[in-house]
Amino acid sequence: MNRPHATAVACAVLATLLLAGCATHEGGTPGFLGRALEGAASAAETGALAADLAGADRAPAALLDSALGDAIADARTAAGEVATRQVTDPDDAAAQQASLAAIEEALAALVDARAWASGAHDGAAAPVSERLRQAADRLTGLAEEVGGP
Amino acid sequence: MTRLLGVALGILTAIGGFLDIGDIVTNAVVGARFGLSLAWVVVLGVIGICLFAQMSGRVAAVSGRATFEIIRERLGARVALANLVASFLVTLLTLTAEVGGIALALQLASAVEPRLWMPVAAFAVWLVIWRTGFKPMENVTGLLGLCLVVFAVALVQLGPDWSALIRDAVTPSVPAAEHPATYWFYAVALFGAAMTPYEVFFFSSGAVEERWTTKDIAQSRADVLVGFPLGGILSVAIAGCAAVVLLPAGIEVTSLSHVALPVATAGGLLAVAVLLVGLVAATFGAALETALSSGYMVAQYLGWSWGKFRRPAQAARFHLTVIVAIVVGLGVLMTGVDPIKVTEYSVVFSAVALPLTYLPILVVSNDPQYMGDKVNGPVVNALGQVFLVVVVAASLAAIPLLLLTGAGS
Repeated sequence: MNRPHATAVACAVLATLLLAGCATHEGGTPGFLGRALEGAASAAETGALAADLAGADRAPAALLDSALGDAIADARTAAGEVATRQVTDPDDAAAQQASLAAIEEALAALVDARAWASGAHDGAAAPVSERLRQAADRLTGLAEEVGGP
Repeated sequence: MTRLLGVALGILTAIGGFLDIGDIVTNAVVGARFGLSLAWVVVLGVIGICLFAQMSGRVAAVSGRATFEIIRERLGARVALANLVASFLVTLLTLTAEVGGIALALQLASAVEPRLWMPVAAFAVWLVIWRTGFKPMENVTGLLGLCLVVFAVALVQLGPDWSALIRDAVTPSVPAAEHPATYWFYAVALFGAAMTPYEVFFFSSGAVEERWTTKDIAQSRADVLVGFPLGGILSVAIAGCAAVVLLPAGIEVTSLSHVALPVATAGGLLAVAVLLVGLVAATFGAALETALSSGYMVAQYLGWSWGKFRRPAQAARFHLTVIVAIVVGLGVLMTGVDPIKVTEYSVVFSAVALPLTYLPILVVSNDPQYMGDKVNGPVVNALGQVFLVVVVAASLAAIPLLLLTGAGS
């Protein structure tokens, strides 16, 4: 490789690393936790919408099961991201614990909603979707508190 | 009367065949995050694909040869090779996304894991390519794809605040909660989804498969200029449904089930049933087109015998390439990669490859040696050049925006 080509390649690699670095470190740990919490809130809202549709008999069981399964997967991803984030600041560590607890609460509500939609529990849709919406509100509130507006 | 029916059928299949998994997912993602503030990109993309698809169809009708054959002859082996490598890799990625899309759509209908559907979907794609004629294949998937009109019906049934939606669409702006780089990343992705390179290669090769002549130019123009914009309206309807149901609830689209929830909200079980038929047909049709396009590109570049109008034994290397592409796509999916992520990357890399696809088409369709008196007119040429600038800008911006936004996350 001649010198101008090597310089061009080096510049391209440097620019790529800089851009990738900007993406991964935006907002630091609070920004990271905020994004994970928003992802989990989205999953909880998805579960609430699916529960409403199940209660009104407006969607086939296969679609509802897929939607709730996908929401559980999204919440698990968010929990995994929060749990494996390395923190060095005591405030960040406290925020990480609070975030993880809130996501796991939403995850439990989603798992319960899927079991309800599959017929494992009796009962109306309203309490199921209400529990999920409350979990989503908590996650959204925490995301604003931790990650900023 | 027969001719009129032919035109109507062509338009209907063009509408039904316009949407693929890239359009469906990207429009839903965008609608759930940005409302209709990126609808202008769909309009831009539809104008672009109309412009270049009718150009490549005209080249095939006048010369009797597919675009790729002429590109190699006109621009030389090296330039054509760059075009081939870029277009083939993007098409392979798109094929992977489409096979994954079929599996995801079947999961919504059955609750069976998509990984179990993937080999079934890939085998069915190969079987249809091997056994079915070109015209029935295109017509059946295109007409069943029309079931996606359910998105437009659902949007009306949802009873949105139309003035707010229209205001959103005609006065686009970056929502306060979003970074401008993310807005532009999705603008590029949406543009790449609308102008996916395989569409023009399939259109041009399909013209040869159907033995178009100059007499067919008017009909092909009607198919493109009426069918594609109506398909574009369905794209906007997908974004509209997501904007009305998912955006206010703060729901991000991460799976195909998210795309179906607004339709269920609006229309209930019947609407979902129609949607599932449309989703399977659209992804299956696009999987057929991308698998065939992979074979078309390689065979046309290397000068092999190609086409479904020939018996498989007479175009063995073409069919082998199609099979290899399907197997590679299936292999990628069986690693456990998320088909939605593959779809998101495929539309971004489509945007990257756009200049390599569209510049040669513009050059060839202006060459009187191939086109005689059917070269581009001044208006088409001016529009083509404007679009090349847009296409190059989208291509250059795609990777930096992908990295800067962490793929829009």
